[in-house]
Amino acid sequence: MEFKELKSIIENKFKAVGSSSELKEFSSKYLGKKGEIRKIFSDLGNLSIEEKKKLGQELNAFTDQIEKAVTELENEFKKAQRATNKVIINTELPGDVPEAGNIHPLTIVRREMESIFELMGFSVLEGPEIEDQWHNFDSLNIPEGHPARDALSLGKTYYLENGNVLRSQTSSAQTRFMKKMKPPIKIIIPGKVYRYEKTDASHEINFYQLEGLYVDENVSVANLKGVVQRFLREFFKKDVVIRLRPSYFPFTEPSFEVDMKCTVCDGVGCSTCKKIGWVEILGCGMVHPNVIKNGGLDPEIWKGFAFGLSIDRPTMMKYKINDIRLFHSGNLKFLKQF
Amino acid sequence: MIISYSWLNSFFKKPLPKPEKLAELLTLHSFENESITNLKNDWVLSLDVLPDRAGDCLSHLGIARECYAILGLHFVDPEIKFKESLRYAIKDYLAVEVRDKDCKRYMSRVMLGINIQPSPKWLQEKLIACGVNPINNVVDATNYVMLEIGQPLHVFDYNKISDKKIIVRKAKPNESLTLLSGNQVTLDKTMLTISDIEGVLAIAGIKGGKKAEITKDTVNIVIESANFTPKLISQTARKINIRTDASIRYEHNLDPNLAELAMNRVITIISQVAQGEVVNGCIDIYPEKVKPVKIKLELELLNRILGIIISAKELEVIIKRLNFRMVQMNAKFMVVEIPTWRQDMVIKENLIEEIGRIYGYEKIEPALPCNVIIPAKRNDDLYWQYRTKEIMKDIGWTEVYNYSFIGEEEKENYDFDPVSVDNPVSVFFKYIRPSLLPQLMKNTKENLKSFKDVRIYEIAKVFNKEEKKVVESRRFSGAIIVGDMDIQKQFQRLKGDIEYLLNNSGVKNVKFSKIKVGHFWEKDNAVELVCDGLKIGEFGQISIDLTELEGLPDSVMGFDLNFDDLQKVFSESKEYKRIATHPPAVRDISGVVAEKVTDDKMINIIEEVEKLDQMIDTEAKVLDVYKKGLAEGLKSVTIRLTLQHGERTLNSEEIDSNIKNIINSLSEKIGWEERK
Repeated sequence: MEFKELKSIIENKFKAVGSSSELKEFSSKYLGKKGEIRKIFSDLGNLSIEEKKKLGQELNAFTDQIEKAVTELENEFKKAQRATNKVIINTELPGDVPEAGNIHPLTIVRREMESIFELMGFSVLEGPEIEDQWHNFDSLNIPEGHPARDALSLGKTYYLENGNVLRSQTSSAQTRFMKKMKPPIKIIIPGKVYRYEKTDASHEINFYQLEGLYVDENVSVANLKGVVQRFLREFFKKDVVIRLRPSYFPFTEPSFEVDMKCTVCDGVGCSTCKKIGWVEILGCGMVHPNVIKNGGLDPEIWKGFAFGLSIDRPTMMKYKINDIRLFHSGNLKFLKQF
Repeated sequence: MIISYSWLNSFFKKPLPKPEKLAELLTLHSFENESITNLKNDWVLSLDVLPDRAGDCLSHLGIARECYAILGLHFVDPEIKFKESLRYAIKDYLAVEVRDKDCKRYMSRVMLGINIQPSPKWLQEKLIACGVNPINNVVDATNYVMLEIGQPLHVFDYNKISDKKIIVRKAKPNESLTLLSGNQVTLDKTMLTISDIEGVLAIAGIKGGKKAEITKDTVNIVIESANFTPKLISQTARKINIRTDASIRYEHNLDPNLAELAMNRVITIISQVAQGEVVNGCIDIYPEKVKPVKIKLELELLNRILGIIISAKELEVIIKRLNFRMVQMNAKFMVVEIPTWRQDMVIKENLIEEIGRIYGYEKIEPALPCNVIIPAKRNDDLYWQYRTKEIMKDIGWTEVYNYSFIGEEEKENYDFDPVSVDNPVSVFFKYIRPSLLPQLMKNTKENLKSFKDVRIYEIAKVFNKEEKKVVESRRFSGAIIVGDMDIQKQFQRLKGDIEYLLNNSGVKNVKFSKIKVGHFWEKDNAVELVCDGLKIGEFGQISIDLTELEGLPDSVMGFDLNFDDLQKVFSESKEYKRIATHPPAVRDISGVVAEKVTDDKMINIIEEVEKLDQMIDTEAKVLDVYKKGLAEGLKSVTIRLTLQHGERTLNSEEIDSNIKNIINSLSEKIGWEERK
């Protein structure tokens, strides 16, 4: 067959291709090693070198052109196919949310408090929940006969069958760690404490405290104020204003109560701060020399500050929880909100 | 302490700041004010006097002194003005014998020809403002002086005291007394009494008796102004369960020197409001006179503790305002004499506190400590606890907190031997818990009312008896029920969740072995978890007997692990294993072994063989086990082996020789018979 004749046949056949399968058929008939075009090459034998060269070039150009057209058409068919198969997604339907569990709000807040203190260089330690009377009272400068001991031991402390007590404050661990560590001591001791209470919306029989202790040669009330203020700023993520007012604890002297200007009303007075404008946030003071001595250190050299922070109350403030008893309710309707 | 604003004002020549302002100053420098109430002609403040200051500040005088310290206003002492009789002398009227050293001071005076009647209006108003009911002029005068000066006083009807003699002595066993209220109190021999020769007239420092009560017919009176050991008063008050305005004051360190001022003041008031003649002389038994103490304070220490520098001039002013006396002051230290009404002042830190609060804590600028930077040390106990909680959260478990206490019901139902609390807050909290599971069962039951699925856990301390000692340890327990799963599936879900936790916490060598009978578990339906040879705990179906008792469905599953042990097998170490790029060879081998041979045993043998060639990594997994058609005690096992070389594709000779080694080792060690 003449090349020109074949060329026009091929061109017409190509134009007639209407589907992907027809295109495949076309390709296998005309293109490829055993295709019609190849056959013409084998018929070139009886032509002169000049003619061979010329016809060969024409053939190659034509082959390239057809192959390119075939590829293009093939892509077109594929595209059309994808368009037909396309699924339209209803983006309005709700997402499939994986059901995760929850961490108790007191754990969340406790961790947050711990990490703020850790960033300030305070190591986190834990003391035992069952304490002997010496650590719970005597070591904290609350000897037998002391009014605070009577108030605590007769009214507020749980005694166990073996004569030990459930710790009534995390401060009980202070002297334990003073004995084990060398100053400078910079620690916090968070944990569960126990008080004999009638429960109501703001009182519990066991709750959580975070004790802070810093013992070094140069420790001042100014440092105590600095650390407490910095902690509260980080925790409440606000530029909080604090004030110190006199207080009394047997294990600190001087002793203070720290109030924070109410973050809800900015000190004007609202229901959160009981119209006072200030919220009592923690008790603290300079470690009493007798406690330093009970910790095996020389109170003439070593000074320190200590503070006791409730974990429950700031948690209630943070999440606007109105009843402390919810923490120990085991109620998933409550717990699943955190 | 309830404080009348107008009463407080009467101590000063110039007026005090307005009530709100005064309350704020007192809150910042002395005691927190809890409320201000507006009365007709007055305001009352409610001050939370600190326990160490109860000795001098449960009185208007004490608070007035605080006002002076804060404000420096000119201070006027209460008026003392009365005439003593020229005719009558005390020795003819009264004798006092103190037989016990718990009476630190006993002062007594007699007044004759008293006219008992209601108090004048001014006196009644002041008492009412402070929440005290007026009774008659004499009793009101004693209450007035107590509120004014802080010293409790007592008045007896002189004519009702037998033999003109008062004896201060401990009570006899089972001695009793009829109180003013008419109630009968039985005393014991630790309690101190004010008696006459016939019997008890009053419980010292706490309450008077009916016998020598002041009535409208009283004409002659004995006035007592005394001081007792604080501890004795607090113990007695607790034993007989009576707390009075008097006992509250005596429980704290009241200055014995105050008795004299109070006596003179009450005589002044009674003379004004009830006339009468004051018998000449005052009985005063005061064996050990309390004298002022001196405190030496180094200025360097003062400044170091407060973190500020207070000038010498300022210090002089503060000391004067506190009514202390500066005995000596130089560049290094000062010596301060403390008046005896400040029994709370003993050590230099007390003085630092006084100076600081009057100077004003608000003037101390916050300053972060300057020291060597030592990073906080990680607490592994907490690290693993929090990590576990995060993992549990990811797979759908919710953390609960329960009380550390359980009651009789849990003790009985679960057959515990718990540690008991001597003074439980209620019958439901008689013991401290040895296990977390009972409360988790209760939580599950409550939550099933609103939720189809419950997956809850707690990590907390439990308390157990071990050889007479009480040991506390961390427990990690949980309960699970999934509404639409059968028991088999729920068990697998629980097992899967535990495996997920272990896999994500670097635990290797995990074994589950069936336990026959357990404390909490249904027979045959629970397993023991052993990691690295250490028994960690148990999990499985909660015993049907227990779920029945708790009113729960049968399908509740639980786990109960020792967190202290679990933490021992947790690990953070990880090592990268090269990613194989060459295709693995997969071969299944089947054989017959004794039924008792465990999967673990077979896998271990295969792993031993793997160790022979460092480059070839063999993974083995039991695909199938069946016993059908085999002799008793035998089973057929199919194991899939996946072999892979680290650097190249394995050829068939290598694969065959490896498989052969494995089979040989299996048949040698456990009598594996290869099936074709």
